[in-house]
Amino acid sequence: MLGEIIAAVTLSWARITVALAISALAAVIIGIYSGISRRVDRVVIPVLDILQSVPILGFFPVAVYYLANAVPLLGYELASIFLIFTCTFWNLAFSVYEGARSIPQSLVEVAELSKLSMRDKLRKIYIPAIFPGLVDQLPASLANAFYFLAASEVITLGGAQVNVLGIGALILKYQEAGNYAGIALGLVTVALSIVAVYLLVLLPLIAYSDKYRFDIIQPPEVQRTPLIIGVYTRIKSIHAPLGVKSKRLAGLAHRINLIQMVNTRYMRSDIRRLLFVIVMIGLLIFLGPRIYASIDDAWAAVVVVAEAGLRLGLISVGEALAYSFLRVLVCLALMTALTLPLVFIITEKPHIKSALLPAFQIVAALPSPLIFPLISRLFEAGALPREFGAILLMALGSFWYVFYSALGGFSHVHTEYLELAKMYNLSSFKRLRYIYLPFATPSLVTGLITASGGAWNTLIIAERLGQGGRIFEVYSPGLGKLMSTLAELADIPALVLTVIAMTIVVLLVNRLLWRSLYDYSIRALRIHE
Amino acid sequence: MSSPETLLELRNVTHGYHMRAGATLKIIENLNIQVGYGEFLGIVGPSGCGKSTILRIMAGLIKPLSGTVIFRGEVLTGTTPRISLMHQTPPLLPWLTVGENVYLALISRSDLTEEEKRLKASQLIELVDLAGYESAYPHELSGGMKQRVALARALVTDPDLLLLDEPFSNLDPLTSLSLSREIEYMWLESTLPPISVVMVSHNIEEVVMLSDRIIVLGGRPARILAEVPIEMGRPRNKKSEEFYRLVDEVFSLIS
Ligand SMILES: Nc1ncnc2c1ncn2[C@@H]1O[C@H](COP(=O)(O)OP(=O)(O)OP(=O)(O)O)[C@@H](O)[C@H]1O
Ligand SMILES: [Mg+2]
Repeated sequence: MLGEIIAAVTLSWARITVALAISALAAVIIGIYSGISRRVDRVVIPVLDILQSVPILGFFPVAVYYLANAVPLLGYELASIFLIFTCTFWNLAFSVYEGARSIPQSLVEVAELSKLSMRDKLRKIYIPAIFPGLVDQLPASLANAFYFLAASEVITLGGAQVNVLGIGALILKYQEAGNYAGIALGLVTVALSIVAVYLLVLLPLIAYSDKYRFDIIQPPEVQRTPLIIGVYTRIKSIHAPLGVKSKRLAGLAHRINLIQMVNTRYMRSDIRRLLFVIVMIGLLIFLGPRIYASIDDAWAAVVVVAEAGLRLGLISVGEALAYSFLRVLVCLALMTALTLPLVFIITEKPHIKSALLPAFQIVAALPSPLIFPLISRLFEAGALPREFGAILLMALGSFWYVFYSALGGFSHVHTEYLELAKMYNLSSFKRLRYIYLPFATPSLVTGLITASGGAWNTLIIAERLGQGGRIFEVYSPGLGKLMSTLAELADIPALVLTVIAMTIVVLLVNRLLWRSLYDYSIRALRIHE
Repeated sequence: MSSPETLLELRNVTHGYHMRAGATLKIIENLNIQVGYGEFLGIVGPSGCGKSTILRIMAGLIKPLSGTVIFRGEVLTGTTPRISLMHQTPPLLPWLTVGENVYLALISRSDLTEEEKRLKASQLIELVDLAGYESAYPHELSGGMKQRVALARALVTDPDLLLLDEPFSNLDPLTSLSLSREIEYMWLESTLPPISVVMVSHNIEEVVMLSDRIIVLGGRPARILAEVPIEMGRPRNKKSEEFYRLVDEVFSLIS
């Protein structure tokens, strides 16, 4: 059994390593290009932003269907790697982008003037600028990869279930066989391998990246902005001047493609986003025939998807959306309520912090889905426990985003403010209310944005978890539950429809709720960036 | 000139920071400073020599590695409302108005009623010439005005000892001058709180203008290079021979 486990862990790691390497490479190339070229930037960042809102797991069966048909032998293997790629890529790409963007213009000009070769430019400018951010994001990517481990190795489509060899699939197999010793041993092996990789690879990498961290690249006052904020302010700052100087750009716009023209000249950003989604949907429909092999006509694909919509009933899709939305909100609220006191205590007690943080980092990297069976068993009795169980499953996938962004926000509060609190004897509550919370709010909201995306992504597991013939699902409707059922029925058109619905909702929620909350908090707090 | 009675005293104070390799980088070593009762003490020294660190130790914000701080005859173990520090870059909370920022210094005091706290805050805001700006936010103020809000906040607690860290940094000469007048007024007006003031500044003219005694720091770890008593009467005339001589003397001691 041990041999089997070790082989499976090795295979899982091999897959994850390949996917991570592809992610990192793609992130470096795309990130640097869009970071240094405004033109690329204007196209790539909105595309990334939208793609990142597509629910990965919902998209997965569609991709599997296509890949398995297209590449007979390696199809499932590729599909598995593809899934891991989709959950490790975004944060890496955005961090590289941020890093490349932080390079001061003067430095780029000096490089141009001194005619540095591309290799030297990479070595002297770009790598130092992006390396720390990239390395910082690796643990998060790894944690994500492990979160979707089981999902990436056990592929269900239309009653058929294909397992690729790996520890996620193996543990599920043990579970079906009731082999609890196997489960325990598998979990311990995975945990140990993660700890080993953490200590032997990630920590040295992080230590190595410190070499670049305090270079003159960033003046000390410029705090490293959290990922999404950076992206958002970026998007904002790009569009603001363009709106004003649209005439001068009109000539240029002709040379750039349609999407970008829509982007820059005619639309206010919300409408632009929606249009973008519609273009994406069009693309999907255009690609539909390739995905859905029996239809050779794009229009027919539209009809099929529309029919699926009628079949499901718009009301029931809307209802499922509403329930899921509520679940996501409750989950975020609970996580925030738990995080704030925890982070407050950790920040104020440096010795607790230095003891707890490494432990937390390892726990965060552990594949929480492997304890899903335990949770589903614990919360099986009754509707309310099941709701709670589902929310807990969601939280396991997104808690760390909230935690680390709050921690970042709290620990960036300048010493002077804390000294103020000390001099004026402010109570814990007042310190939290007058100093920590206001300072941390932008970072916290950023974390909540990411966590909300994560929570939506995990809905498909959290609302309906099938394992070894047993199914754990919430009694009330939910979009994740719907998707999971549709994937099982291999109802591709309906699945496409739900994926589109979820993407639009996530985008709208991001735009209308989170984005305005972020703007509001910046305004209310009078923080001037 | 050391006063007969001492308000605060640093005794053999050594402080430093732990470096990565485990070694300790000493910033100040065996420092002895006495702040007399009713004294205005100026401290000057090159940038980075540890002046802010000394003020933080005097305020009870950091505990030195060794040595003791004696305040009013007792060992100082932490912060006290009797000692106020105005930071080098005054931390005003951007989401609080001028009034609320000043009020914050009193918010935890149980010996005053809500009404008294409010009254005190607005009195101090008036004193620093910011009447009418109570409900303005810090980002709406100029650098000099912000500095004055910080001064009001430092004074609102009725401290015995006021510690000023570079109150004139980031200010243009004219604004420095008016802030200096403000401090002088506050100092000479006997009904106003601080019994003693310790001021760190690079602006030597203003240090000579205000201080009863100047301590010149230097070296690494920092120690006292010289002490210059300023025995001019007040108000002091900047154009006088003696003033020039003193400014020159302090300058030559630093460089
Ligand atoms: N938290 C810290 N950790 C490590 N070193 C520190 C820390 N705070 C200050 N230092 C170091 O202590 C020395 C003294 O700092 P301090 O701020 O007291 O100097 P200063 O005389 O006030 O300088 P300036 O005139 O520029 O304000 C500096 O060399 C600084 O690098
Ligand atoms: Mg200083």
